Order: sequence, then structure tokens, then C-alpha cells
Amino acid sequence: MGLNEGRDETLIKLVEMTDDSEISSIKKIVSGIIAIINNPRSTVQDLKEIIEIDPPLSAKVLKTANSAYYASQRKIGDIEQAVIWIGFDELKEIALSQKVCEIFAKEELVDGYSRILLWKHSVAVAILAKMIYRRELRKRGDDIYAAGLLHDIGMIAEDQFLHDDFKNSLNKFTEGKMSLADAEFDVFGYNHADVGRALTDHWNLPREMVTAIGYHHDTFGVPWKFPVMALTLYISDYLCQMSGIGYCGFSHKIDETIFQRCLNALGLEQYAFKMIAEDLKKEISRMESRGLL
Amino acid sequence: MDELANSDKLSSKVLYLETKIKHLTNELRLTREEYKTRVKNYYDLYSNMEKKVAERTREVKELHKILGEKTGQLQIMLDSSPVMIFYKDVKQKYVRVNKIFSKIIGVQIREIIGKSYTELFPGNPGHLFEDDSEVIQTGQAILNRTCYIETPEGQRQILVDKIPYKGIDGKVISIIGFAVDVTDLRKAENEKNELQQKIIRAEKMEAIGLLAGGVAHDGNNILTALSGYLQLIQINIPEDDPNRGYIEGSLKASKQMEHLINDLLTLTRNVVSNKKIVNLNEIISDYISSPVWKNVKNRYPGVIIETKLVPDLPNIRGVPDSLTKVIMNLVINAAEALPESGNIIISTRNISIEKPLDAYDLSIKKGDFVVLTVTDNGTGIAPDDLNRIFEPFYTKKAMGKSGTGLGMTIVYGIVKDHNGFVDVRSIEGEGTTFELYFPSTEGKISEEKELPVKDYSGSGERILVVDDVKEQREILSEILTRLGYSVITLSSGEKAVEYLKTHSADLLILDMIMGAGYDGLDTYKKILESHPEQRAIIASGYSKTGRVREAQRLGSGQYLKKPYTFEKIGLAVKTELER
Repeated sequence: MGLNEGRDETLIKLVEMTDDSEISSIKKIVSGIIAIINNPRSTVQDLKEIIEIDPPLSAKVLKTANSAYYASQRKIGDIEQAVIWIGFDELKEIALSQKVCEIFAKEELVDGYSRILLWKHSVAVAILAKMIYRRELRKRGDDIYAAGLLHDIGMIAEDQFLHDDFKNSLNKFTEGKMSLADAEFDVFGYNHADVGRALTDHWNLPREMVTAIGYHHDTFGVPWKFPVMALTLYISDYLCQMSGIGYCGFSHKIDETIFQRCLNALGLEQYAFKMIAEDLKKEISRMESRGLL
Repeated sequence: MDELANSDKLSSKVLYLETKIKHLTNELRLTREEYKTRVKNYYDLYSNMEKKVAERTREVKELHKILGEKTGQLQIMLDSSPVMIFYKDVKQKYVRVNKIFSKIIGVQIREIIGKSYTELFPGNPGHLFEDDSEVIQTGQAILNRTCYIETPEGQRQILVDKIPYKGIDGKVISIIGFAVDVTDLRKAENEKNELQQKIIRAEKMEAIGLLAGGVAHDGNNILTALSGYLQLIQINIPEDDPNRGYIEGSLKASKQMEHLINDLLTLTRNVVSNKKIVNLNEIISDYISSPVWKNVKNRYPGVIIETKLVPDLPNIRGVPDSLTKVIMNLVINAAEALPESGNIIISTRNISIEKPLDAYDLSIKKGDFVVLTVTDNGTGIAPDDLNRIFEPFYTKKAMGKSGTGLGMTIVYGIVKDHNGFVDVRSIEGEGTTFELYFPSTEGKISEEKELPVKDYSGSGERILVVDDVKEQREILSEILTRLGYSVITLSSGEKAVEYLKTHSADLLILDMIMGAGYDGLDTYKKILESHPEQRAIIASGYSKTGRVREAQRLGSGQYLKKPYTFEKIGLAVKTELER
């Protein structure tokens, strides 16, 4: 349809705009780490090489390695040592969070929205989704962690490049008439999930991730091939909002039935889910007390 | 109702636990897998590290090898050097030295490293050698400084270079040094200088000798004429002629001249002195009782002379007249050093020496010697003069003594001619001692008797006299005729050769030196070609040279030394004709 084509074009334009911006600055590292996550044969060397090319990231990694939490006996002086000390898997996450966090670093609060809050939300979603993966689905969860961090990245793009329209949609949402996604659709012709999809696709991130991000508000529109990640994202997103962690301005009401269908589709028990949610809350408050969030 | 509630509680508890267990189990499984991956990662890392270490080790080994080679090369170079090389830090401690350094100072290398020179040799100052502070402070090199170090071989003189090695900031961080042991070099230089001095002295003496020889040769010829003619007069005039005394006096004077010329000739050391077995004690006693002695006493009345002659003094081989001359000259020399009064002691003793002695270019090896000492307590001789006292004319010119200036020179020459040794010790203001060493001999003293004229007259034998000097020919001819021989005289060797082609002679008397043409030897050789059995006598006023000896070897008999006396000629001719 004409509308769709137009929509796609503006989307593409938006994505192109991001290429010259700071958003794109994280692209290399993020896609690199995600590639490592998805490659079972990747080594410490590979991770080290990715981190090394980003001075602020390297600095942060070393600082972390030498922090009280990791309690190294000797001063950690290089990335390789840091990778070994902190742990290959942990460091993947740390580096990823570190990098993505960079684009969320604006304090300005507009209509209850701020990037910081969005970041908090994204981290919570990432952690919860990973927990679900590990405890219920017995999967490692590195990839969904990354997806969690990135799932609302579309909003950043909108905020940065279509600021007025974005504010407009925020307005529309806060007036209470519709969900944020619908408001966006109204204003832009697409919502932040679409933007996220386009962006991550543009970055050549894995198909599953791209799809999950794209459909995280519209789970049952997801092509049947990649349901798990999308479903998990949805329910994690949903719960975090419900729990009031970070930014919660996505919808005014929750559709319980869809939520339940998703749980069923994943084979998740409510009870189990509740337990995991409890642990999430614990983890979030622990991170808050350590000043990480 | 309660039971229901309880069972609800229980089942919810169970549900909780079940879920918890499920979650934990899943986590555990995942963790276990992740753990495996992690271990593999670590293992990869470790292998990588091992590879790196192995490579690094290889590199290090390689470098070590190269370093070792280079060090070895350096060490060889350092140790091959004949120059001492050393390397010190700013604390003046030795960091490295080469072999020759260690060898010369006589300390093992490992004992040297880490110590300073002062630590190695406390209280043994090498001065410049030990102290580097000048170099360290000024940052300038010191080159070619002479200093002395004590070594097991004694004190050695060395030339030192010290060069500062500076760091990037220009401060001295170490010192490189080189030192050459020049002791032997200096010694050799000194010896060379001494030898050169000796040569100059010897050349001087030789020149004088030549001069003296020339004078003596002509002098002898003249004397021969003089003495010859006088002897003829002596024979011709009657016994009671009042002029006899004058003739005798003249002959005596002529004899004295002969002696003087003889002395001059001793300086040439070409003279064959007529040595006899004599005893110094006798000669000294003879001298004391001689009129010459009385003269000396008269001239120096304040002088008291004693003799201390050891009894049983061994004999020596010598020429009495020469030895007397020696004593006389030494006594006069001593007397002159006692301006108003004083003592002179002449003593003799017997000595055996073990080590060779060396002074005034004379030296004697170990053996038995008779020592003649003449000591005075006079004004003494200054050290500079002492070195040169035997130089001809030195005593006259430089020391202002009286006489010909040859007195000491003659003493020296006579001592040398007697294979002896002389040493002088003197302290200004206290006195002087001359010590003369003569090799002693086992021989016994012989007496010489003069033969009366009759015993050597001839009976008309033909004698051919060859001499380029007319007076010589005349005198010889007269003497021989007197003695009863028939004489022919010729003025050159060539003429003699010609003459003998057509004539014969029972005896030739050939002068050795005859101007530009044949000398005595040439003549004799030529004549021998046609007359291989020809008897001959060589006559010479000069010396028994190699040519004379050669002639004698070829067959000539006696050697007749001018000036002639009746006895000499008669004896020689008689002896030769009766051979």
C-alpha cells in the first residue's frame, strides 16, 4: 500500500540519519559483541580485540576489573587479564551494557520520559528475559540479554531526530487516550518497535533479534519461526512496566489475556514466572544500591 | 477447615520448592556448560601464553648466544692486548679488567672486581693510578700520565690514560682506562744512553790512542836515531873521556823519553807490553827507595806517607815500569790533594771476589785479586769530577791540576792493560781512596840478565836491512857491522824484492811500516814466493799488530821493537840466525 511504502521510506530516512550520529557509534562494538555471543567458537581474544578498540570502554572494563566487587589481588592492567578475571561471559554482558548505556545518557525529563529511565527499564527487561531463558527454558540467555538492552532503541532515535513529533506522541499518550505505540503510529506512521527493527537490521544484527525487537509490542504478529525471543521480550517488557521499574509509559492498561497467552505459548507457569519476577526485583534493588542503576 | 488451610499451605510450599528446584537445576546445568567453555577458554589462553613464552625463551636464548659470542670476542680482544685495560664505576671500583692488568698487579681478576685500588692496596699509594676524582669531576680525559705502582715484580713505571664515559645527561658514569708498563722501555732507553756514552768515551779514547800512536811511532823512530847515535859515540870514545858522563846522561834522558813514549803507547792499547811475573810489594818498596820518591817528598814536605803491605802477597803478571808509574802517579795525585799536610797510605792486600765488579767501563769477573790501595785525607774529588777523572787532560783542564793531564789516563790504561780494575771513592773535604785490582797469578818471579856484547857478535853473515828512513838504515847498518855482520841497506820493500831475485841474504831485517808501498808483511810475502826459507826479523817502532803476527806466522822470527839497543839487535839477529 502507498501508506506502507511511504512509511518504509521515512523509516529508512530515519535510519540513515542515525548513521551520522552518536547512536551509530555503538554499532561496531555492539554488533561485535553480539556476534561473539552467537559464535560458540569465539575466544577471549575476540572479545579482547573488540573492547580494545574503544578507549572509554576499555577504561571502564579495567576499572570494573579492579573494583572491590571483583577483588583482584593484583592490579589488572590489560584487557586480556580483565577478561579472564571477570569472566568471559560476564564481561560480554558488562561490555554490552556499558556500550549501549552510552546512548541513553541524557537526563532531561519530558513528560515523565527520560533516557535514564528508559535505560533502567531496558536493563530490567534484559535481566528478566535472561533469567526466564536460563531458569525455565534452559538457554544461556546472552542473546536475549542483548535484545533486552536494545529493544527500545527506536525511541532514542525518535527522540533525537524527530524530537518534536516524539514529544507530540508522548503528549498524546499522557493525555490517556491510547498506548504509546499507537500514539507513535499516529504521529509517525510507525512505532518505536519498527524503528528498532529497522535500525538493528541496518546494523546486521541476527535475524531473531531483529524480529524480536520489531514485534515486542505485537507478539502475535511475529512470524512463526522466531517466537521464543519475541514472546519473552514481550512478557519481560510487560512485567517491568507493571512493576514500575524504569520508564513505564507504554500503556495505560494491560491486556491480561494476551499476557497469559504468551505465558502459555512459552510453557511458563504463572507461579514460576512470579518467582522469577521476585528475583528480578531483588536484583534491581541490589544494583541500585551498588549505584549501577 | 484447618487441615485444608494447612494442606493448602503445604502444597503452595511444595510448589515453591519444586519451582525453585527446577530453576536451580536449569541454572546449574547452564553454568556447568558455561564452565566447560570457560575452562576451554582458559586452556586456549594458557596454550597461547605457553607458545609466547616458548618463543620468547627462544629469542632470549638466541640473544644470550649472540651476547656470549660478542662477550667472548670482546674478552679475547681485551686479553690479547699487551696494554692494561680497566673499567671503573663512579665509586672508583673496578668493574672489569683484562688479563694483563691482573697479571701485572699480581691479583686475581675475581679479587679485583668490585674493589677500588685503595681497597686492594691499602697504604700503597699509586697516586694517579688509584685516584679518579679528577676525571670524574672535570669530565675530561687524562692522557699519558706517568705514575708508579707496586707489583710483585717491584716498582713499575706506567703510562696511564683515563677516559670518562658519560651518560645522556653529561655526567660521568664510569671510567675507561689504559696503562702501559714502560719500565722495561725506560730501562732500555737508559741502557742505550749509557751505552752511547760508553761508545763516545771509547771513541774518544781511540782517537787519542791513534794520535798517541802516531806521535809514538814517529817519536820512536827519532829516539832510535838519537839513542843509536849516542850508543855509537859511547862505543867509539875512550873509557876515560871526560865527555862520557854527558853521553851517559844523554842516553839516560833518551831512555826516559822512551818510557814516556811507551806510556803514550799504552793508551792505544795496541802495545804488547813485556809482562813478567812481579810482586807489587817489591815494586812499591823499590819505588819508596828510589830517587823519584825523594823528589816527591821534597816537593810536598807536609805529607806523611805510610805503607801497609800485607806479607805473602801473591804475584801478578805485569810490567814493573808501568806499575811503578801507576804508583807514582797516584801518589803525586794524592799529594796534590793535601795542600799543607796530610797522610797518604799505600797498602796492598789479597782478595777473592765472588760477584763481578764494574766501574769506569772496566769489569772483572770473580776470582783472586791483589788490591793496591792509595788513600789520602785530602780535599777530595767532587762527584762530577769523579766520573771523568780518567779522561785525558781532564785533571789538568777541569780540575786545574798540574802535570801533563795524562797521569790518571795512564794509570787507567795500565790497569786495563793488566786486565785489572780501578775504583775511586771520594768525599769532598775528607779524602780520596783509589783501589786497583790486579789478577793474581801462581807464577814465580824470574830474573833477566843482560848479555855482554861479545856473546852476540856475528861472523860475516849477510844481512839485508830494509827501512824507508835513512837514519834507521844507517844506525842498524853501523850496529850490525860492529857486531861483525855484513850489511846491505835498501829503502823500500819493492827494491828488496828486486834485489833478492839476483842476490841472497842470510837474514832480512824488515821495517813494518814503510810509507805508501809494500809494508814489511807485503815484502816478506813476496820474498817468500821465491825464497820460501828466507829468515827474517820484523822491526817496528809501533806495535805488534796483526800484520806483524801474520808475518811471524809465515815464518819470520823475532820481532824487534824500536828504539834499538845493541843488545836487542844483537840478540835478535843471533837468535834468528841460529834457529
